[in-house]
Amino acid sequence: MSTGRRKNILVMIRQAPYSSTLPAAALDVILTAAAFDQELTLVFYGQGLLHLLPEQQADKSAVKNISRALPSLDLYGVRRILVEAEALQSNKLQPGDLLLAVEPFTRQQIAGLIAEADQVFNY
Amino acid sequence: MQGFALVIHAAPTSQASSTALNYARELLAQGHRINRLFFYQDGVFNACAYLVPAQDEADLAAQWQALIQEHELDAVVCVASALKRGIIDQAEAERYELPASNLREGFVISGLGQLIDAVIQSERTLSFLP
Repeated sequence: MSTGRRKNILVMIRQAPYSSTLPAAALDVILTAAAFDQELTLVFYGQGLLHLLPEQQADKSAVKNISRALPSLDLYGVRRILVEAEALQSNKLQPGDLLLAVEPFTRQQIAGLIAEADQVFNY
Repeated sequence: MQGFALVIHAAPTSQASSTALNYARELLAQGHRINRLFFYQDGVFNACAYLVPAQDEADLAAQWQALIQEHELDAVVCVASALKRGIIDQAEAERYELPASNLREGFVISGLGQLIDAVIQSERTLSFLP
């Protein structure tokens, strides 16, 4: 374990489910950072929002589905989970349609978080 | 908390690996410290010893290795990314009873914790995605 100060790390998931292994990489990064007790924010942006849709049947896809792991993020100390408000709107979804309690943030608000963060991982 | 960490997500067949390499060279040329190079996902292919690029193409893996060895850089290859892409060191070859290892000298295989450790230790971490 490192002795450096806590960093404010923002992880953005922008890729749709089953499109690539980047979302799984994002999840690995955030869980590892949580083990290092960092200050974490996870943002589902654009198509990344679709990871939050419930009842996905991933069995037929070769690409791992991260949705099943998302409800346990809270246990790992990832408390700040946000979704792009505009993405919700353009997909005609409400926060209540999603499998996690996530807070909608506008692009402008997310830009503010990016500016504040010590480190951004953009997946 | 000073110096840089670079996260290389791109294989040597991608321009992004070349961009990362040039960035690393320029950092060192300007007297900055590179705390760690972290090769993640397809970036692990830069650590493959068995790449044979065409004669008129740049051998990026060899160039990475030369930079790492010249400046004694800490070059970590993500173990999960490496194993699933067939980048194997001697220990993993023995563990999984594989016929050979192919990790290039100068690189070491380790866990994702090394990435977060580098982020914490460094003033800036830059990711190079394909």
